[in-house]
Amino acid sequence: MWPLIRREFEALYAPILIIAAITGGYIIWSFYWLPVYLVPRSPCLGFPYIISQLKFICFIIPFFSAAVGAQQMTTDRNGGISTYLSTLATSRNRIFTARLIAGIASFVFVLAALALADAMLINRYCSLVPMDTNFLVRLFATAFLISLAGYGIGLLAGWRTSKVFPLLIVIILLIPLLLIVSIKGLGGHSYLLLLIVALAALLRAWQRYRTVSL
Amino acid sequence: MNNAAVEIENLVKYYEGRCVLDGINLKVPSGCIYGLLGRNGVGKTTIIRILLGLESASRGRTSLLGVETARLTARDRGRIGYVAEGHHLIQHYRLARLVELYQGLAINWNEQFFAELIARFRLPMDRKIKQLSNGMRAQLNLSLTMAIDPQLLILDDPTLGLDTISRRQFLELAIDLIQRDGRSILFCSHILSDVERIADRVGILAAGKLVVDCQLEELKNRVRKLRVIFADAAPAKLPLTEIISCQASGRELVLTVANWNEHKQAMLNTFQPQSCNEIPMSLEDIFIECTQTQPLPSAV
Repeated sequence: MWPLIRREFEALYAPILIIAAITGGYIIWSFYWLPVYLVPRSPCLGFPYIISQLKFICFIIPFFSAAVGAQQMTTDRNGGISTYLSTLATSRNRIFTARLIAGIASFVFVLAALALADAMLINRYCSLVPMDTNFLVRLFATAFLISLAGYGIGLLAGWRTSKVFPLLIVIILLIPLLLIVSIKGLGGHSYLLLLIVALAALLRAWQRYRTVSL
Repeated sequence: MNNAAVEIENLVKYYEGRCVLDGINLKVPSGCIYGLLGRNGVGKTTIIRILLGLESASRGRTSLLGVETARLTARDRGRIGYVAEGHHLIQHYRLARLVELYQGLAINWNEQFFAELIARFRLPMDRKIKQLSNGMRAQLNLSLTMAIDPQLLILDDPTLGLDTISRRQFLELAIDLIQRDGRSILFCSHILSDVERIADRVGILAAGKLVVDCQLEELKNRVRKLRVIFADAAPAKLPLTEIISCQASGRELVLTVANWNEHKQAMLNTFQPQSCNEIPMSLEDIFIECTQTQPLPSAV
């Protein structure tokens, strides 16, 4: 299984590099800007600043995860990767599982890096405002679920030779999902909705991958 | 089923309403080299893809090494080697990386044998697959497949694009494999001289059906091509069964018949031919006769 997981990570090096650079840039910028400019001038704005940045990023990450899913499938389809791999000593289930592990890990790493960096920033520079840990947990849980749903939609949309069509499908399906979450807010209803969409998309992608002609 | 390396029962495949495979029944016994022949687009690759589970059948059952295709586990697949036509592999990988991946997934890996093959073919491990020639890709593909010591080797036109020496080396490797106990090969090729060299048994596909399925020697014995000269004009029609082709020109009749026997000879003699000579047939001649004429005799 490990050779397959490693292969999937290697295939994702471009999107992972891009998102790592963006996330790293944001974290470095925050560690520089917050203590040097924002907190000395208005100590109460540190926490709202971090939260507003986080909300923005959490709405961007689902598009990244969808792009990862679509890229995995489009590259596979165009390069005949699964056609080759499934003639070796492995199975379609294993190939798909390895793909899921690599894909999900890519955005979980981003979310984890953000969570860690922001927790450190809040602890060090925003002590005047009490930290709402519960809110942060809900924010990251929603970001994870919506990214998972986006990833599933990306996997589903990506099994095509065209690169434009998956992009359109992802945008058409993800924007309403993000709007619903922003209207309903962070909480049980949003979790349930996102979980259903994520599971439905992932199960359908798995079922299609298992049965499609390679 | 238990003694068959490959078994296909009543396989039917439709593509967009067109019947490509129409009730194929085929059995490759363990330890046999089976040459599957047919013209382009007749469904040879489709059969192999269905056998390997890359594509689903519309109807019928297929199994490899006694396991139904749908139930093949990773371990079962590890006992099957497959060399596909075109040798696409993973184009953007370097050879060394592909070997690492292959080795990582393989259940058996004979490093020494693989190193020998790589040295013999002089394959550059630092080059990308897409930078290799078709011949080099074929050699790499075969080397990888042979290194896992497969119990069943499926070759889909593997020598296409190879030069004569590489083809010879390829066939020698296949023969080397079959000499080990219980190994089997299912071999599709358009180069019939290759099939003739190594196959024990042949099947010929035409119009979605397996029109020939027998031992190679038996096929050569059963199919006869005769040049018959008559005193007057050759008869337009002969009351013989299983005629594969029949061409009359003046007094001469060139006749290809399946399952030639004394009874058929006696029937021909009633027309009092002046002479009746057998024309020697290679596998290629038999293949051409069987695939260019329709309908075909099912009894071969």
